[in-house]
Amino acid sequence: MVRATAFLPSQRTLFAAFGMLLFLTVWLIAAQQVGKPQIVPPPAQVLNEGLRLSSDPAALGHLATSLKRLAIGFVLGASLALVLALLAAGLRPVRAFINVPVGLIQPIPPLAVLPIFLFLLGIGEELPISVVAFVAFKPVYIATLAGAAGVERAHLEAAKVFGARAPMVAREVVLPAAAPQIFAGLRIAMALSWMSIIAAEMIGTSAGIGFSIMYDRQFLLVNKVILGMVLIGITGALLDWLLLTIEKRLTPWRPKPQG
Amino acid sequence: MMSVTVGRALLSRARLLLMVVAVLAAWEVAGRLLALPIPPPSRFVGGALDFVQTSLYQESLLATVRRSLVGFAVACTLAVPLGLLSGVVPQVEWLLSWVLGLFRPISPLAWIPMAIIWFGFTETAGIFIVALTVFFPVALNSIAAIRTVPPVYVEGARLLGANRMMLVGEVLWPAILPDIITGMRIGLVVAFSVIVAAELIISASVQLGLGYLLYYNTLLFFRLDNIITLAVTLGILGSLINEVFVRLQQWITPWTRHVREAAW
Repeated sequence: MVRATAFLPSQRTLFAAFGMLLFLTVWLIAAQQVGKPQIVPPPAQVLNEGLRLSSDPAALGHLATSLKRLAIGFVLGASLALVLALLAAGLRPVRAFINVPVGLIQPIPPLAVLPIFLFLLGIGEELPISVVAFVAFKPVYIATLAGAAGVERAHLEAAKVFGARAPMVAREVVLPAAAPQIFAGLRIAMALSWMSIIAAEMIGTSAGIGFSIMYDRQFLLVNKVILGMVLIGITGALLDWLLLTIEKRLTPWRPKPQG
Repeated sequence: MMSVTVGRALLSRARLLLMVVAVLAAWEVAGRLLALPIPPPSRFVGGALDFVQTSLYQESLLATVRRSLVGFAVACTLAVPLGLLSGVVPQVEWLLSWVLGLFRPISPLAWIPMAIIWFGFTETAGIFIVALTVFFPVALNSIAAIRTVPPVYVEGARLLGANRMMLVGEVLWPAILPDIITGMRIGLVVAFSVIVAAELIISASVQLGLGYLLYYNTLLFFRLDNIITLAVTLGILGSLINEVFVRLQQWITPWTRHVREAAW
């Protein structure tokens, strides 16, 4: 607990690299023991396939499709949440009209809406987009509301004294003050959205990265399944990094947000 | 937690109830006048009550709960010792850091095709997905639990002459237990959401489970009322688990409540 500081950081890297090596060795041995490359492929085989596919731009087409759906759904859900939360925070009369429908859908687990949307929308492009929009809505709404509730009264009153109208107060006072919470909500929403879009694509589409790994499974293309999973992981990490970077850019006055 | 506070701050209970009644009334009127895909609440509730009493529903509920709990138990058995070990011995954490860094961003649902390749359309495939889901929050909370024990606790106990056994049993254990239970609570709530999606996707085989029921009611029977009943079941189940764990936490580690009260 306390001893950790006594070591050099290079030692840490050494251990991490050794751990990775250990993992690859275990994988290799497991692959040899099982003896069925279509079930547990050796690491080299997956790497080869990866190199082969990296020179083939069509391989990334499914990822591009997923990202496009994610972008549309996320922007729809998150911006609706942002606007509604700001309205609910600022205008007392509309508050109940917004809070009640939100409160009704709130306890439904994100992935349980998938069949409901599948029923209502059928198979197609609208399904993953609306699932993402639904999933992204809740964390952003809650975070924005919490952030707006925490704005200092003095700041609001000062803005009013100087003659700022409601839209200006929302843009210049509430949004910057609530930015850390909003971004925390956006990051949760993004992680959930990325997870849900994969589920939606597995069930109700014929393109996208979620569809593609299910499709590859049917033909026992296990290398491609693993590469698809890695791609999903990397993309998820990049999306989170992207939001962190945007947050840093938009709120230069704040100390670095925690990763 | 946060949502509850916000909800309470902004909305009185009475007004909430009134709005819910208004929504239900509007639904009832609309359901009778228009041809909605959802039956009006009066008929819907009756149908839901019938559906809930079928053995198919009840056995599916049990199957889903059983899968979640087995996967949860497997994950905790691995994650808690591993998390604690890497919390105490930094070398273990360094050893695992890149490997876990590689696996952590991969969402549990992306493992579904692999689970099917390895285990087929079986019970084990679902349990595997749940175990993966639960593993990370529990492991991370266990690491954090042991890391955040204030050194002054350990030093104080040593100063007062505690031996190793006493240090672990009387100081460390009570200090880390609340965080570990919190990790388990988060893990289990997510697990219930993920198992249903896994059941929905791995639904080719005829098995029981809420996810399978959702699949059949969506794509074969076209019963939106049953789908909504299932979604409500999941919502209730999720809140119930959360509530049970919060109570359990207060009962097993009553000292955390005092800390929380002192913090207020």
